[in-house]
Amino acid sequence: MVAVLALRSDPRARRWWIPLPLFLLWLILAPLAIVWVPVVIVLCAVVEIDPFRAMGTAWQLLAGLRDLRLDVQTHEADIHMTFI
Amino acid sequence: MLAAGKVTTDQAERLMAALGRDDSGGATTAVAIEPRSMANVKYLRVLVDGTEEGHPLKVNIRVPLQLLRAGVRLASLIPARAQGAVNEALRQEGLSVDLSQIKPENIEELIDALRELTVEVDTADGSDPIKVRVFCE
Repeated sequence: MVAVLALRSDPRARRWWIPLPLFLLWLILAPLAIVWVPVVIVLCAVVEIDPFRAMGTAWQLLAGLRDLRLDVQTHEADIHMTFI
Repeated sequence: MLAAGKVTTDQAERLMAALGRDDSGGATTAVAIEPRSMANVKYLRVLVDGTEEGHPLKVNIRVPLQLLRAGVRLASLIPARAQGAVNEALRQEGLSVDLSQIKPENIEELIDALRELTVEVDTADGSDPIKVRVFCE
């Protein structure tokens, strides 16, 4: 998954495109996730939440970001964000 | 055709009966198509078009319904004792929403309701109203 952020402060100004390769972030965070799983399970047990449902929902949220698109154009700024 | 004398009353009756069967077949087809078209709905779109203080204002948001469904599931994960505090905070902000009543089925109802919704918002400066379209596609 890649997030693309485009910003322009003024309609006449140059638009800045910032690609964010999220899949690289997931790769970096994957080893940490393995370490954090027991902590998440304990925390979920403390607040009485099913840890597997919680992790499943978190995964669905991340997966659901795909195809999210946000465009806002005003006279002050122009913001474009999309998840591919 | 009956009035024109092209068919007898008996033939007309049989024709009407046959049309009735065709009608019921047609209705079944329509019902079958409707859920399929609902299944094809993937995104919630919010389009805002208007002017603000004489300048154009455009908003184009496309939210995958999968993300909305995950959000609803997230809300259902909130422990009952925390839901009360969240409901109270929402009420103070003017939103009378009961989180315990939000279920994944509600998203389907929302999709049904949001086939096509257009709202025109009047601006404070009296210029052209801002058109807000919310629909699922």
